Parts: sequence; C-alpha cells; structure tokens
Amino acid sequence: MAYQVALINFEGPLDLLLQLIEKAEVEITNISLAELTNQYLKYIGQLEGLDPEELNGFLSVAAKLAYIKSLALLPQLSPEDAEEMADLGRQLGEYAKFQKAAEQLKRLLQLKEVAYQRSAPAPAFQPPQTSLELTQLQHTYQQLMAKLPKQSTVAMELITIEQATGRLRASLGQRPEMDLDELVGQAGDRQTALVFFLALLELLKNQAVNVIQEGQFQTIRIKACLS
Amino acid sequence: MSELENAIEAILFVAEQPVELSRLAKAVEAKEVEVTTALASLENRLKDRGIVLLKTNHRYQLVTAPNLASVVERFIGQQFRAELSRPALETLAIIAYRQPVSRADVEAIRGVSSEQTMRSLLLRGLVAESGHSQTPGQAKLYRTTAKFLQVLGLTETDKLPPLDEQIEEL
Repeated sequence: MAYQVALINFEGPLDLLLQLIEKAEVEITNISLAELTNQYLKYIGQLEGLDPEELNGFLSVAAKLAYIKSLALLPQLSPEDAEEMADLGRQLGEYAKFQKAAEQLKRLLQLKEVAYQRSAPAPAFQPPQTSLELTQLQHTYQQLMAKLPKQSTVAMELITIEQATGRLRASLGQRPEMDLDELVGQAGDRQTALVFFLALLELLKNQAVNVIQEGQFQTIRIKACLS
Repeated sequence: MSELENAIEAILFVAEQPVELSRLAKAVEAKEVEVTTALASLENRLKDRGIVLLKTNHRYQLVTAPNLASVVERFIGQQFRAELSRPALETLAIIAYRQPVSRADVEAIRGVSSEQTMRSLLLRGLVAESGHSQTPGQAKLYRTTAKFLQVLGLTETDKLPPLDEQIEEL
C-alpha cells in the first residue's frame, strides 16, 4: 500500500495527528484515529534528530493509536478499556479548540486595532518641601563643583598639514639638510609631530624633498631637492 | 455622573499604568464596591469617546479607543506590531481562555514543551506571572496582561471571541 507522505510542518505529536485528521477531512473518532495510525507511524518514521524526550511524546501517542486500532479490529475486547482510548480523542479535541482560538487571536492582531496607553510619563518633578535659602543653593553648588574633576589642560589647536608643509619648506629653505629627530623635536607634542610627518610624506610625494637613511635605525636625513 | 466617578476618571487619566482597584479605592477614599459601581458607570459613559476603560485582573486603565489606532499611530510616529508564531499564538490562546494557568497546563493541552514560547510571551509583556497554584508543586501561574488586551484592541478578557466549547465526543 502506498501512502502519500507530503512534508508538513508540525509541532509535536498532537499537532501532527490533528493535521492528518484535517487533511483526511474526518471527525475525531476512534474509527478515524484507527485509520490514521499507519500514516502517523509513517511520519514519525521519518523524524530525525529528535531528542529522546520529544521522541517519547511521539511514541506515546503512537502507542495509544496502535491500541485504539487494535480495539477497532477486535471489538470483542473488554469495553472498560474504551475509557483510556477516549483520552486521546478528548486531548485532541481540546487542542483543536485552542488551535482555533489561536487563529482568532491572529485575526484580531491583524486588525491592527491597538489601544494605546499614555506614552509619556506624567511630569514627575517634585519641589522640595522645606524652605530653601539662597545660601544653601550656593553651598550645594560649590560642593558639587568641588566634586567635579578639574579640567586643567585645554587641547591645543592642531596645525594643519598645509601649515606644516609650509613650515618645513621654510626650514629647508634656510639650511640644506635636517634630520627627522630634529623635526620631531621641534613639533613638541606627539600629535603635531604626526602632522609634520604627514607633511614630510606630502613633500616627498611631490618630490620637493629627498629622504636618506644609511641603514636600519640610522638617522633619517631630509634634504631639499634642487629645482 | 457622581463626584466619585469624576475623581476616578481623573486618577486614571494621570496614571501611567493600570491601577489596582484597592489603590483606586484608597485614593478616592471610598469602598471598593462603590468604586466598582462608579467604574461601570464610567465605562458606560466612555462609549462613543476617544478613550475606553480597560480592565484586567482588578486593574483599570484608560487607553485610546482601538478603532482610532491609525490616527494615534500617525501622531506618536510609531506603531505596535506583534508578529507571533503559531506556537506562541496557541500558548497565548490557552493562557487567555484558561487563566490563571501553569506552564504544565499549557503543555498538557499542546502536547509539547512550551518553555520557549512562554518565555517569549513573557518578554513581550503579553503574559505575566500571577501567583502560585495551591497544588503541592506550587507551580507558577500565568495571566494575560493589559498589554495583551491593548494589542488585541479588547477592553477585557471577557470580550475575547467565545471559545468553541463543543468537543467532538467519541
């Protein structure tokens, strides 16, 4: 017997069973459950990579289905067992009900009729209860200022690469050669030295200067090109 | 309309969150029964207005009328959108209709672990913890929140579409 096993997305054993019931367009009855047993087993045969706990859920439902089917085939079995069988049907019915409710919620959400609450908090400023003197305010201010870290250094304005290039040209105009250490020394701080270095590269690119270094870690000498 | 009713309206107007009945009663210096009656009257008076009275688990809040959502959204420059997966919707539905419920109750119905979906609903503020069950395990119980009602545009959980109680009997 060939079963068409189309891939469907299901979440757990009850969901799978409900989808099978829906696809077969049958009611939740013992007869329909018995008939769907093989299909259900076919599906769980394809399950891979389930952790034992999840698989346990699928197998437990499979066991109930097999039991229901055996009772359907052998109706002479004691009817007391029917109680246990009814459990699965009841569980399925309950779940189906909430799946429908979930659909309803989805529809409500899609209406996008959202009720909004106050978005900004109401003003929460509370004036001090005690009477406040001007001197208190002054005192508090001074205390606060004392706590603040003192800002002693003010960042110096950096010279631009153009300015540095000009200064470098001027220096080289006065004497034919200078070395890099001297240039860095003149700069004073690291950032200015960096700008001078960029200026040097600029002059080098424009072939306004020559840079000579005899060997590794030797002094780098800067010479003006004769133009 | 009574003075009490107006006082309640004023308090709910300034409140940023749902206000508990007991707190409301304390604020207006009235009995809870009187406040409940006044609230019912206020709710009635707010019909055909731009705001509605929302109630959830003995808490009350004034919110904008759901049918005005688009206007309000244009004004505040944002909109609330909740995209929920099917498992999340199922879990939410079970909590909404059966509240308060434990996670085990939800899992008994769905037949699968619902820990993750529960956590995502808690994170979104659509459900919240609400005490413990009286059974020996004292499991945490969950309820839907005011936000749940807001996004669905409902004023109370009683206004949810009726659950199809007809179970196919075997």
